[in-house]
This record gives sequence, C-alpha cells and structure tokens, in this order.
Amino acid sequence: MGQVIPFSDVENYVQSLQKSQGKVRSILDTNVLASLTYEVKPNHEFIVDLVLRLENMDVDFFATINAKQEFIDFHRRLLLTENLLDIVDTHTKVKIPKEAKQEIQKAYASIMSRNKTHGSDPIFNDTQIKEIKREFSAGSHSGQLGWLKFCETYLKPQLLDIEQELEDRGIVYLSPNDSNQAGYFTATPLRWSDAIDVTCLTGISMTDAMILNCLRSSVCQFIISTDFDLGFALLADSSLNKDVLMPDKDYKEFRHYHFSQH
Amino acid sequence: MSEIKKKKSLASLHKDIKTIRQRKPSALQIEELSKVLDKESQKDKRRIARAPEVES
Repeated sequence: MGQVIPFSDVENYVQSLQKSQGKVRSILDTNVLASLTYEVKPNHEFIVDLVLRLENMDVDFFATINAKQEFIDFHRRLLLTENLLDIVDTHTKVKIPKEAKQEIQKAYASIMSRNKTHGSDPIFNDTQIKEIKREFSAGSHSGQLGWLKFCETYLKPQLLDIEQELEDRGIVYLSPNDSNQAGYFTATPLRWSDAIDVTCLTGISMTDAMILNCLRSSVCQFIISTDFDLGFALLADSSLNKDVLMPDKDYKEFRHYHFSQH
Repeated sequence: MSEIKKKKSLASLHKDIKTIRQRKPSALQIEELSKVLDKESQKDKRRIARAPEVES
C-alpha cells in the first residue's frame, strides 16, 4: 500500500526513489497549483519552497486535464473578483450600473466574512458572479454588451497569458489517448469502474478519484496534494501502491490512522 | 515517450502570474468600456421611455 510522505522528508524520499527506480515523476493536484500561484493561500510559501526543492532534484511534473481545467477556472474567478472590485473603487473612471455596484459590494462583504470565519479564499463563487453579471446591464431592457466588453477588457488577455505561463513550465497533462504519452502509462488501463470504486471506498469526489486512478495507471511514483481527503483515500485503497506527498501537519494527523491493520 | 519541454521554472510561476494579475487595461480600453456601458444605459432609458404603460 501507499504511504504519506511529509514535505520535510522530500529529499530522502526522492533520493531513495532515484536509487531504486531512476527517473522520478510526480502528479500535481489542483490545490498545489492554486497554492503555488495564489499568495493568499496559507500553504503558498511551503509549496513554492517544495516545488523548488523538487526542481533542484530534477523531478518531472505531471497533472491531469481536470487539474488544468480547475486551475484555469480558479484564476478566472480570481481575475473577475479582483477586477470587479477594482472598477467599484472610488478612483475608477468606469461607470457601472448602480445595481451591479451594490451586488459587487454585497458579494465582497460575504467573501470577507467567510474568509474571517472559515479562512476560505476571498474570491467570488460562481453564484455571486452570475448575480453580478445579471445586474451589469443598466436595466431589464438593455443587452449584455457591457458585461461582454468587461470580460474582453479585464479577463481575456490576462487569462490567456496565465495559461501560456503554465504551458511554459513543461507540465505534462496525462492523457491515455495520446499516443505520444504511451510511455507514461503502465499496463494498468484507465477505467471508469476503478475511479468509481475509489469514490465508493471513502466518498471522495469523482475528480479526486480520477486523479488517484490516473496515478495508479501512470508511471508517476507519487502525487503532491494539500487535500487531507485525497491522502485518506490513497491510504484506504490497499491496491494503490503509490505515495502522496503532503504538508507535515497532515502527515502528523495520519499517524492517528492505522489503515495497514485493516 | 516525448521529451518534456520546459522553458521556465515552475517555482517562479507565481511571480509571473502576479504580474499578469496586476496588469491593468490602458486608458483607451477603459474609455471604450465606459462608452459601451454608457450606451447600454442610454438604450435602456430610451426603451423604458418608449414602453407603453401597463394597466394593473
């Protein structure tokens, strides 16, 4: 069965893999990509340091297509939040409808309150963005040109550049259907039924189950994640002989669990 | 197995993304956006003015 490796032990772990298996390859979970690129995340500095240490040891990085989609979506919401807040700033020259301004201020108060009480990201969720978009027209009779122009001005150039920056990092997006990637997959085929089995074992999301399933079928030796539940699912699945690299605080928490005894 | 092409360090991704996030539209782009929003607002006012009164 797989094991949880604390960030602090990464050098020993990777060196041991290099001695026994040669090339070391890892999968990045979406939360790692988000923490790496959003300085407000509590784990941000730990993740930047970890990635630097892994790069220094010549570890290759992989991700699933889902992780890339979730990463770009995270930055879509972040860009919309920051830029909508910018245009309701008192110094802005952009005049938006009064109702939209009120909706942005209401959403801002809500995210700041949740940030204070639950430590959640101060970023608008999709429901809030949809409410703001609805109020962006001057009234019930006007069209959507204002919102479209806002997206063209404040979202499109930035999001395209963020995607390009990610591309420049050489992350490989695992796809069993890409013949160029045949060497990155083991004989274990990627099956929906296996992903569903992982979900049914611990109740984790299908997105997480598909990442673990991809780890199972790929040549990557481990996944890097800050999601406790993903580590839990990996340990609970005795057939999954791969590891997960997690923050030290999670590693310590896992010492209270004794999966190997079941 | 295709060779992995890496142009930049992954550890520096946050710096480049922060720079992108901090980049603001030009004065011309903001003016264009304001024009569109203003036009939408005027369009709305005209349509409200033209709309027949509805008896309750």
